[in-house]
Amino acid sequence: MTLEARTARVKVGPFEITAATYNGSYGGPILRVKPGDILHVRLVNHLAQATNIHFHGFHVSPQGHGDNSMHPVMPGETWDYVIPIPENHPPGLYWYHTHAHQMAERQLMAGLSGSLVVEGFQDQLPSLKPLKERVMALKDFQADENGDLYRVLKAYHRDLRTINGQLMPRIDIEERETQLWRLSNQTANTFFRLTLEGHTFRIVGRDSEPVVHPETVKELIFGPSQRVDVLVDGGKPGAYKLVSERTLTGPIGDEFPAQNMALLVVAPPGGSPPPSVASEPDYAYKSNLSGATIDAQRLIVFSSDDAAGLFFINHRIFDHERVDIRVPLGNTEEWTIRNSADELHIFHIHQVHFQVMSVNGQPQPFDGMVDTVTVPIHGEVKIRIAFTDPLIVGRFMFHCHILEHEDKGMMGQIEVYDPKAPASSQDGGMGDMGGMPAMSQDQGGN
Amino acid sequence: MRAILLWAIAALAAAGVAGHAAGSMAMDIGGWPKLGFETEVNLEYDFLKPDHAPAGGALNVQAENETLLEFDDNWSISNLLTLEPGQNLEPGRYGFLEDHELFVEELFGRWNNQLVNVRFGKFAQNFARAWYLTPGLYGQDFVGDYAIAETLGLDAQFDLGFPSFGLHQITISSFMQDSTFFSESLFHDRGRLTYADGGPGNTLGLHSFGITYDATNLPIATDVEANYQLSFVSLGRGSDGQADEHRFAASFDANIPLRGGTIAQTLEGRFEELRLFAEGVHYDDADGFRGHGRNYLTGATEFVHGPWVFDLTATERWLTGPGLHDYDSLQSIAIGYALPSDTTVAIGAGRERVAGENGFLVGISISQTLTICDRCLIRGRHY
Repeated sequence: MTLEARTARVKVGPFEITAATYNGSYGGPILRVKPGDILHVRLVNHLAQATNIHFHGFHVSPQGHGDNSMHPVMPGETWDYVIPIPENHPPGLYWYHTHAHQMAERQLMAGLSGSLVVEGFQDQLPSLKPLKERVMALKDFQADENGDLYRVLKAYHRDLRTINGQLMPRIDIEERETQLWRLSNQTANTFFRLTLEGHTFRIVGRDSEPVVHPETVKELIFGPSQRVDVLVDGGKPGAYKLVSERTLTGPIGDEFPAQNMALLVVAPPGGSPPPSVASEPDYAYKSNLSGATIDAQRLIVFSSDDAAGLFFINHRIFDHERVDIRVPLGNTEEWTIRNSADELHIFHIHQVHFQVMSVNGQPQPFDGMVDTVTVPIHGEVKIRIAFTDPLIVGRFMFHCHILEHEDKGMMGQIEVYDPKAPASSQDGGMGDMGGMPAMSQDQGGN
Repeated sequence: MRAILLWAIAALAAAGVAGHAAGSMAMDIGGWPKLGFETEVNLEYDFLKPDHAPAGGALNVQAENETLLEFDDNWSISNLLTLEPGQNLEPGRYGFLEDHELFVEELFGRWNNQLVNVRFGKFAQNFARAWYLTPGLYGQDFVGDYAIAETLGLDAQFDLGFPSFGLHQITISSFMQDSTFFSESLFHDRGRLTYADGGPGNTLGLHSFGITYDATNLPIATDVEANYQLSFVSLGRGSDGQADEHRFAASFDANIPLRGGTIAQTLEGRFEELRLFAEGVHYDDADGFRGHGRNYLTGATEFVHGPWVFDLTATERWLTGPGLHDYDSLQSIAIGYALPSDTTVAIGAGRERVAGENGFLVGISISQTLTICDRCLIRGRHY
């Protein structure tokens, strides 16, 4: 597949905006692959600035022509991403997006992203197979009267929050029909609190993988880059609004006003009973990291300097030539992510998924593996990560996925190395970031 | 001591440059230079009722414009342009803006890498924090005395590393009061500062120096983080002084989330936080007079409830030395509300006792922040 990154005037409802698109589509093409496939994406950069692509959530190699977010594709250049997807790769909803450091926020908001489905999620939850699947990419764009992206994003600007590039699309469903909605937050900075008049959401998956404990919620909360799979059951015939409620990310954070996102139209049942799922689907993971032996513990601190407008991880802004953490292949580690700021941050690491162990000291029951987690204000989240897949050897990033923060420094670099590989292939000159030394230990998991 | 300090700053800067040179292989992907441009305008009406003098009110405009030009990750230039009411002017004698002064409060270059942050030019010293942290309409009325602003010189802030218990930095500086044409002002012309005007720090060379230790984001309890600062400056003797003035400061603050610990509560705006602040400052040989002392003690509490902010502050100020018995005090209260448009509306009241006279203050203020550019690209397209 060829993705041509270029600016384009695109229609969003009654408005026309100057977007940055893949192949002219603001919503972004949906890519579908299967475990065992080779994903070949040719990126042609027609933009005036560098860009690249990150395949968010993929457990694949970060090196060479793989999911290599370190490599900038300069204006006029072409780059081939050739990514063998392992046979055992978790199926689910992923997404791909620009990862051009210092420009990612604007490029993503302008449209440079799309949904990426690894087929097989419904095979894990067979009761969902008959259901209609809707893949929804949620984006937002703050446009001035000319349709250009504002230089500074504000709560009071015209915010065009879209689903698959459409403003207030219509979604059809039958009474008593169950549909599988697969939502990905492809905004740069926005948290969603989605409500659906007269309806609830049944959460069956997060960040591509099934949850262990499905739950029914009236309000669906997910932050930048997070995905959520939900079941929606058609209620009584009528029209219902899907609303993105007002959100605030803290005293020094951002505010996003409420907006209607879509109109759900429930039709009376047709001739045959619509597909539905009455009970919650079950999914049992073969194992998790609760009982794992922990090889190292690390501390990651998010903080910011409001006056300088910079965002830090362990008081360092990102430097792509500095390796902040070196991890030997085979380690299972416990990381504490601390938020020292008066606003929310959302932690993401490339190439691996992790298990959330506790939030603000409260142990969390295992509910599946994720690749992002929101860290409460002045709070802490403990996660466990298994760096055991030889595919992930190489350098990749961890960062706050509020892209304004990432662009302004809140990103670090990790190198997973194979201790059994010849020394000449190892980069021994790069030490750990100060304050993040691995504290080796053998401790039983809790 | 001053020579040692200058050498230390130079050595730190050199170490930083060497580190930068060693790591200067970074690929330029066309994102520079960048511009930041932000203006904050504050409109405030204050009504003062002294116990033994006629009451009166005044409308004041204060505006600050900050421009930041970043050339790359390491080099930048900052400028702070300030408009504020002139000091010590007789009320009622001037027309609109004629009683206000527009001046360059800061203009400095910055070079930084991951270990050291060097500033050179005109800027405020990193000494004490109450003069910018104390909340409320009147909370900074006394503590503004000891802001060491409009100084020329250089400083270096060195990161002492990041052990898991917070961030620890040390700042060393060498400076003098600005007596260049940048000390003049437009509208009401306050005139150029000269050496003959005297005053601590108003010297003919970089004869003042300071050293400050900052510890921030110290996790002292679950969800609770604290910061503290210890600071010392020596202000060189001015033309009218008998001695160098020495100032010492110690401050502490903590943020205590009370509610809103969950993501959902934060996103709904149901966030509550208590902020505590305390600072003490002592002068030796105050104003350059041997044996004179000056002291300040400030406490402040701020309660944040979503967009609402409630502030209580108290400051004591007293002089010590032969024949000095002045004891001043200030208590203030304020309530503010932040609108989504970056507008803050606040009302406040204060009670002051200065040189034995009591006064009661009430006021209202409207502040608006206008961010025109936030690290905008100067060249090229947005994407």
